[in-house]
Amino acid sequence: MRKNIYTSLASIALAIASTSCGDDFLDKNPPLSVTEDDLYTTESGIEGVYNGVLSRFRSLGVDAVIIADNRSDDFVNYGMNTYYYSEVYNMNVGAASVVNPGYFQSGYLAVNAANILKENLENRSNLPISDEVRNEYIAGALFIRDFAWYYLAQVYSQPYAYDPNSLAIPIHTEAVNGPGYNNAELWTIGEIYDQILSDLSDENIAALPAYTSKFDPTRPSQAAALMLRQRIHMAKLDWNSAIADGESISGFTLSNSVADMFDAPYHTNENIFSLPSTNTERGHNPIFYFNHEGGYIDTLNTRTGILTNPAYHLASDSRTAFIRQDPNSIGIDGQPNKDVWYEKYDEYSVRLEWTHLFRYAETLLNLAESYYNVGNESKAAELLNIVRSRSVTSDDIIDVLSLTGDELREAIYNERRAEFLGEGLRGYDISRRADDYVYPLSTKTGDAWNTKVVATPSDRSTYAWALPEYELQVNKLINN
Amino acid sequence: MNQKLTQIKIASLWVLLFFYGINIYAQSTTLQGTVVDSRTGDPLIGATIIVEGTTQGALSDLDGNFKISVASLPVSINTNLVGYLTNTIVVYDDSEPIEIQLTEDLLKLSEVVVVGYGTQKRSNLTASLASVSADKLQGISKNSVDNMLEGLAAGVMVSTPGSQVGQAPIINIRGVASISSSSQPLYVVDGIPVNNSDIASNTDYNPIADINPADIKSIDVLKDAAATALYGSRAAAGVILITTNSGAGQTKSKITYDYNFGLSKAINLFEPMNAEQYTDIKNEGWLNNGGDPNKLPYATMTDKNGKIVNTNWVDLIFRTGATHNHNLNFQGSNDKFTYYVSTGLTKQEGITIDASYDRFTFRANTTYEVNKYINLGFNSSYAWSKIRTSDSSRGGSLSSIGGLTRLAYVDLPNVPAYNEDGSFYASEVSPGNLGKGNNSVEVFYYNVLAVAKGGHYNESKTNRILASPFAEIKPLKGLTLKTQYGIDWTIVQNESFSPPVKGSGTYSNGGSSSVGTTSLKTWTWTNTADYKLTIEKNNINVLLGVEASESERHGWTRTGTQLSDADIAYVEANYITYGGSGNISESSLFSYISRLTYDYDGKYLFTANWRRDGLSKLGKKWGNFWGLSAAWRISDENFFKPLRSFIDDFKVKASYGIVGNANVGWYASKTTYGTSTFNGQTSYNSSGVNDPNLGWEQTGTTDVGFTAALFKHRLSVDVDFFKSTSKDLILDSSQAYSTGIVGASISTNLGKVENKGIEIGLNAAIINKKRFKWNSTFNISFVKNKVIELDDDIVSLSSIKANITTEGYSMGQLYVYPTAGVDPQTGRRIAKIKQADGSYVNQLLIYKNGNGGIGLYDMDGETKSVYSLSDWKPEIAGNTKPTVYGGWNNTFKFYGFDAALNFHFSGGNKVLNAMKATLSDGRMWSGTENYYKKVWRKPGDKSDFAKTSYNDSYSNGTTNLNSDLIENGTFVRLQSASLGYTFDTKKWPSALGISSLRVYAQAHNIFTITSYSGFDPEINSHAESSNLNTGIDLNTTPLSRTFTIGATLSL
Repeated sequence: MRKNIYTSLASIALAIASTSCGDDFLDKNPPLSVTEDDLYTTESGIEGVYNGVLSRFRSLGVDAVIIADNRSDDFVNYGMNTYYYSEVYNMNVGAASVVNPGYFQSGYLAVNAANILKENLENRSNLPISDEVRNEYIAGALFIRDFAWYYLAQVYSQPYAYDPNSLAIPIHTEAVNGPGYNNAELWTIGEIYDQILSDLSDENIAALPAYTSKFDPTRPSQAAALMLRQRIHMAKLDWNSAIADGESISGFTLSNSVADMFDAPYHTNENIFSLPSTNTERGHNPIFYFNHEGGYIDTLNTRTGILTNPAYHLASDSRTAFIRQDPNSIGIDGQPNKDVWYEKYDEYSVRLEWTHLFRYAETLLNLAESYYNVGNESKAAELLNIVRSRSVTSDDIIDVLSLTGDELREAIYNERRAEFLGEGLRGYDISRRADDYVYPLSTKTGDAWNTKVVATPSDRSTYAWALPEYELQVNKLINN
Repeated sequence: MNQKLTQIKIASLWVLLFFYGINIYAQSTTLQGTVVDSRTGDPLIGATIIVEGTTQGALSDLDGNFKISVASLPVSINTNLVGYLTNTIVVYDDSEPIEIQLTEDLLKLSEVVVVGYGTQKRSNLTASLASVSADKLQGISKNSVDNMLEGLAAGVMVSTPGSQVGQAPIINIRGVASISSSSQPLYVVDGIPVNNSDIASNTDYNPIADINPADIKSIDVLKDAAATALYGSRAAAGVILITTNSGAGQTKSKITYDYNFGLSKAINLFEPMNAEQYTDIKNEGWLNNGGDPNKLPYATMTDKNGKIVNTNWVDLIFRTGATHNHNLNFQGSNDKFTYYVSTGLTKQEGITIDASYDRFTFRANTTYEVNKYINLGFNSSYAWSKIRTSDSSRGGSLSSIGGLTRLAYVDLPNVPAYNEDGSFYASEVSPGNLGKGNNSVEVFYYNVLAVAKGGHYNESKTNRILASPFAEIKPLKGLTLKTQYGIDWTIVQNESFSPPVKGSGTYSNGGSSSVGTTSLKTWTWTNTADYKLTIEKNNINVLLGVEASESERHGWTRTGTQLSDADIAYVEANYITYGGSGNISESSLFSYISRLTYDYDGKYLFTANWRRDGLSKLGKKWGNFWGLSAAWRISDENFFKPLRSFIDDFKVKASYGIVGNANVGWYASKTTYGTSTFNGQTSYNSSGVNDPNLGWEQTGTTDVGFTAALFKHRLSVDVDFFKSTSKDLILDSSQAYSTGIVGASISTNLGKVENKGIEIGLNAAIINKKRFKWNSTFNISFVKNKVIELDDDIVSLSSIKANITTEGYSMGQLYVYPTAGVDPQTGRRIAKIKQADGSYVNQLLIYKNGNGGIGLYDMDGETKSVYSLSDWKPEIAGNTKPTVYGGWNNTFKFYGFDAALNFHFSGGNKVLNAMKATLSDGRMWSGTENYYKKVWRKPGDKSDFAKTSYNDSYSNGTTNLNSDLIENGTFVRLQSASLGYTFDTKKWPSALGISSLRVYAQAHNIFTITSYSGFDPEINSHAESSNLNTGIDLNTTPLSRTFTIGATLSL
């Protein structure tokens, strides 16, 4: 009996001991992920975080292009599908619209990723990188958050030119690392622009990479920051500052043709800031909306769009090669509808084309518009001519260098439309100038198609998007 | 570590304390007697008569007579016979033979039930537990045991959310005790907790279906904390213990073969519009919108014979599916060895033409008694299953374009399914879509036949091994040491393929595929010491143990896009581009287990459970879980005697305990960065912010109840009141988008939910003649769920936002836009605009295509409203959790016939018939004939359906789901009925060797009484997230009805 007791006790003890539990048994870490502390101990870790910030911004930037073109008067969104920006096109993006939260959120993901990187670089000691690299990353993070704020403010606010005090979006200038930051006040578009200008100080810009022969347009650079600053100055009608920023950009040249930037390797010496597409990123690409294979979504406005103006539809204009004519296509009204797609993006199956946010042609046209506005018309015409003559090499029906006054201004405006068609600039130009959004109707008066004002700056409900419902619910400092 | 050592020391002491031997008496006098049936007076053979407190015993002979020696008088004698209640009498006098009357245990009160880490006699339970024995399941053929429980156990709500092949039911035991974590119960098969989460990435794989129902001996559902506390951190949603068959007691080897054949068909399908109705109603919308009558956008087309093309897609997609089930088992035992070996084969066709389910199972359960001290055993099973469907969008999203049910209803009836050359009819402009025929509007949907028959498929093949060797050592009388090692290993091969077939949606990407494997392996090692001791009338049982468990999950997926050669269309073919991803997750759990049960003479009963769990997933890893329960058998008290004439047994019980929920994310407390690439270089992005101090969800449960047996054990009544409060629920605390926190949420312990209710179970042997028996059980549960604390309202389902979880209401309330029907004058939907004072103003919702779109108008239908659309806000609109449910189950035996009727009912909840909205849409897609016939057409019409208008998606409710779509979800269903006949094989020549033969016919889902107008009120389009997302019926495969015939033969 006693022996049995000892045997059983021994076996219980053995059983308990052998299944016994050290703390390491309960310590499990995800093998495929890393912690923040791990990342800031190596040079490649920090570089990877910087790349992460850029990839967050990429989602926003691609959407920003698609959205601006869907708002513009040069495209028609034929899809009646709210997931494919039909509400953006119809200028009725409400709090519950399906595209609204995604865009809003991707902007803030970029902002917070940038803020977190910036604060880690500012606050951690013994970083394994040089001060030079550290300062570049900090300045790059500032550029990314500024660009994200800029894009968000374009759709969530009335234009600065209409009302600098128009409420725009909530702003966090500091990193959000945990709960408790739901309530953030709306800043006005004017306050946001001021913040961007203060972020993009000359000192911070100087910390970014300058132009070199091995310039990488996928990374924030001095030129990219100057371009963003130039856009802000233009929005604030501060033309002299815009000229100063534009003139500070050097080293870049126009490529032989616009198409060059949409063929491998998808960038040339003209690119200042572009969003790359590789295997990882290419799923998110404007091509889905503007290519005929994408499912019939955004087609050219063939009634009142820029290409209906003969001066921008010249056979000698190399940019007209982007027009994809399809004699079989039928419009929604049952009428044959040629000149349907505008395919800068034409590699539908591989989708590796980059999305260009700043290229040197814009620098030149921004300068042209700015010089025009300070009265230097000859300089403006000269700059306009550089851009136009790159594509229209012969038989131009406009004598650009002889243009003055309203005709010159019109030509600059139109060239911006034609040059950046499908690249998202037009929508932002309309808003920057606080112009109305005017869409074609399917009726005619005489030979001219009738049009309709779909949004005017004074009507916030059409001109600006409502903030997403979720943000309105959670952020208690927004009074809507 | 010190703390642990202390615990081990305490454990050892406990064990020591209970090591006592038992004295043995000497014999002196002999008693004689007879054992008879108390009702019939017939003598009973084979009853065991034991002198209490000794090992002295005897068996009754053919005439019920027995002789037994006793040391002295008076003496207590216990008499036992299978199927009868235990009888205890005290004998004072040996002068004449004694008569022992045994009462038949019609209600199985003396049965042994499985509790955590052991068994207990039902009559001695202090906890709340529902048992379902194999004979109750006999009339039900389902692939999975969880499905079979529907309506059978009090407090257990089982609901069928749809009938996709392989789909698991939703099970809620006593309400929903968690918000974000799974509220599916813990399943324990033969002592080993098993995985029950769907790890297949592309089908509805139900892991519980890997257990062949034919192998199941009994199911015990642990409900209150007193019963579940031994499973501690995993018990908050209840525990379902499954015991599989063994050969024990089967002294003669037996082979049993069962085959059945069934036919299933979707029920309550709506009739879709035909070509002319479709064309007519769509053009009416065009005209209602002021469209040009000379440019009608919709038109029928004619085939080469001049007939109008009319395609009924619903008929083309749905079918009658055949099911074959084969089950074969061998079982037997001798004094040393028991075995049960079985194999099963199931081949099931789905109710849609694309779907199938195949399963092969194998099981071997053996035990071997080495000597009187050592007993070894090995339970093992292997299951292979294949689920195949081309339906890649099964959850209900509003404009889902992949779901077959959805496509079958929205595809245009006025275009053909096929071109004349036999290829699928597709769009010329966008060849992935269905062609538009003579309509001028492009179709954004796919040709559903091209999806179902064009070679699209999602397939998951699972291989699963459940194996658990165990050893029991009985070094002393009453002491059992047990060690059991269990392994649960599932490998799922996932495969999806989208060929470049015109009309099927994936034409333009040139074909794509996804293949991958998920492996989930869990080992559990349990060591327990169980000591039973009886000192006079004090019965003591102590259980101590430790358990360790570790899980590892690996998964990878490879995707291929664009076939190199479109004619070589296989998953394995070459693709232009490849992508892929993978994941690894690991977790571990370590536990200390203890239980003490004590009873005095079966009259005063007491149980205490305690378990301490450490879980790697949490920040605060350790938690203590416990349960205390007590019961008092009042009927054994002297003062109760006057009532004994009709109340045979009466026991009251009460319990309280705290259990937890461990169904949290693998790394729920770790904040990490995920790796990817940007422009070809490594990039790191935050994967979200997690709470490093994340702790256990805890549920405290109180249970008070009684059980009674009446009228000579012909009727038993079980009543339980319960109230459970679950606190520290892990919830996603909403973070504003503007914070930039990934996922816009942080999981932390902050919620509190209450479930309370009453369960009543009645079990009656209504008729108990020798040749006619009718046994009837009825159970009903009233459950109220209420959210007590919540940080932020949870508005779920990002695309449609139709559920809200908010304080003061039950979880998953409907959250829709308030409407007041269709205005008979104008035919427009009436939107209710809430005023600051809480009252409503009615306005009309009018959509004007190309002319301002949606807007609100005054009731005259002309004047633009002073309100804008954003003034119209969604509001809480109805409870979606059934507040009452239960079942009524009857079994009949008449000569050789047996029959069963199982009713199941549920109610008190609302269902949002979102399918009604989307099948009455103003856009290009089709809808139901009912819509065509009932839509508003002229002033004075009373209709559910607003005046149709070109491209209008508002007034029908597709955009902004509205309260007019809400219906009552109450129903009563004849869940199953069966009829069997068992041949009297005893009369057959023994040379045939047939020991039993039964033939049977069964039917499932026979009829449903409900006012619900959709497919079925049980449909839940978001079954995968049913805590928060319930009561939405949207684009889900309807329920099916099955007729089965079969036969069981034993040799």
